[in-house]
Amino acid sequence: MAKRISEFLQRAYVILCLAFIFCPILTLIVFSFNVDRFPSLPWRGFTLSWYTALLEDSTIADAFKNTLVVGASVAIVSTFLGFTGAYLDFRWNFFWKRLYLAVVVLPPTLPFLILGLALLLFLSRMGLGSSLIAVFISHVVICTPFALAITRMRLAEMDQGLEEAAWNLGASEWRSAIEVILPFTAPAILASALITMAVSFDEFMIAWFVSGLDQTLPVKILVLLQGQVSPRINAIGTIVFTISFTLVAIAQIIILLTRRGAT
Amino acid sequence: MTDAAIELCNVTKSFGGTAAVAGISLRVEEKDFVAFIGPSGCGKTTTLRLIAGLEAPTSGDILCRGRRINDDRPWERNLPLVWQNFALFPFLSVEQNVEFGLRMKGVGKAARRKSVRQWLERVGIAELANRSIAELSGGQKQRVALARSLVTEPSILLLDEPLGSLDAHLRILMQSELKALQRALGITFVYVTHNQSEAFAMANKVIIMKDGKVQQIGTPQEVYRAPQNRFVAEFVGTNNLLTGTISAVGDGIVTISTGVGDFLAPVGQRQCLPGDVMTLVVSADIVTLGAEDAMATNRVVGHIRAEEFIGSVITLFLELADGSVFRVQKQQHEIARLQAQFGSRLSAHWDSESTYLLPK
Repeated sequence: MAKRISEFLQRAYVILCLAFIFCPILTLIVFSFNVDRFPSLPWRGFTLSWYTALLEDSTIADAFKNTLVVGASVAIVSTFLGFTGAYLDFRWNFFWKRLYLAVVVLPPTLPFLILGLALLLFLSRMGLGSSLIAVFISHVVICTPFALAITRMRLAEMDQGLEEAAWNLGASEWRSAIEVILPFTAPAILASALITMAVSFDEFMIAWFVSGLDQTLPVKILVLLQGQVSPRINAIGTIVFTISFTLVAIAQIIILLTRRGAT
Repeated sequence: MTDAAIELCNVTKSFGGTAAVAGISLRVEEKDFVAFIGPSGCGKTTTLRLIAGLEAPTSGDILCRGRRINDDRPWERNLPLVWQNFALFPFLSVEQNVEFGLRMKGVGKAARRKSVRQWLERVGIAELANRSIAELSGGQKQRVALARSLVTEPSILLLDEPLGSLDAHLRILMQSELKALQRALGITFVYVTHNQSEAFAMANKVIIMKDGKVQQIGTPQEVYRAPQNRFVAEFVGTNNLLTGTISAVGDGIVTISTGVGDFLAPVGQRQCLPGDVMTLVVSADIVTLGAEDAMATNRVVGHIRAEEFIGSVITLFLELADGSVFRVQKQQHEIARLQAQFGSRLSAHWDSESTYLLPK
């Protein structure tokens, strides 16, 4: 009996924690549909007008487009770099491998405020500061470690002998990478693409530092907030949250499914 | 002399400072079924990997039909390997796994399909063509691995303890199937195992290795009845090794004095002088058991310390006067007739003609 109560309390505690974290987001979503301009109760009525208002503002549409373009490009490049890094770790041993890997996965551990400033200074020196290219480069730097970690985790589940078996059956190193490594890691590659896109999509701090006139959506949201309080921001926030959440959720499902089915 | 299917010329392989293979030279002839056996770490798997090209020798030459293949990459040698853990591709079906080698060679889809079906039937799993690997049992996976290696019709097949993951009775079944397959196909098998009985059941030539060196090469009968050195005598079969000094030399027979008695032994081709230290090898299965007081030449007395069952054969462990263990192998019904118990004292005697001497 005591065990049942304890289990119930533990579950309740976890649910309360999650509720605490998600409440602000929930509020955001709920009030995006409220007729009232200010997020207050009582509820005045349901409307989609704030969402349609977004379509009329071309700067928001531009910011959204920028975020998508950057996100997609970052996903492709980071996934590729992450995959090659993971394969390097899997296949070869070289003297400074540990050090190399430690440095490669460093970026997400650094405070983005500092990283943003540093990247702005560095990229400006190279003539790339204050542009979408700068955002793209910066995001690749912080997203590649995610892709590397996800792919490496999947590769660790692979029997080392599979590559040798492919060589033994007539596949050269390149051929066996395509015929064996790629199919096996395909779920991880897909998950990496989705997560890196989500990370880039959501990322505010570094984009704030290095983007110029072409802003990404998170940056645009801050600009809007500073200008005026409007439920249009709630609408944007809801859309951004839904996209990020969906991307990450799909990626997680892929990872979970393939982990259980790994042979 | 015609070219051997595989020839190793003074091959060594070192990892870091240790030599896994320390200079071996041997020939595998066409249509041989050769088995490498030896204790763990003796270098037999490394040797196989050297032949397959998965490791490069530190020195020495590897020849395939007279041609030096040291510089051929693994995918350039047509020496398929059947792996102990099968190494089947989990993301491909059975049919796709088996056709892999043909696909790498560029064989067309129709021709591939035909070959794959033929070989799946040959190894007895035609109905599993479209199954995924995860659904197969150990024995089925083993057959898929076999079909996958044979589909490119190689003339030499390498096998690394392929039956290691199977349960006992399936192993025995697969042994006779492999032997029959090798005979029917007329190809060369190079087989690595740590299981002696497996090697002896299937191979026509056995290569015993220890510490990266070849200890003896011969037919199973030769190796079993005439080990050339102490290690082989200890490793193969169940032999009792009695070390002693030659005390008398006669006409083809010598007397050797050991800690547990003096015994007669045939001298064979050896030159023995009184005072030489030699080892008398008495195989456990040529020994006759009798009551403690039975009289015979070549006799030791001891009490039963332990026994071991392997099917209908029992191995009795007798503790002799000096504390050493003497093993006797007999059929179960013969032992039963003695009505012996643990601790009973028995005598064991043998015919000197069935024993032989080894230099220390």
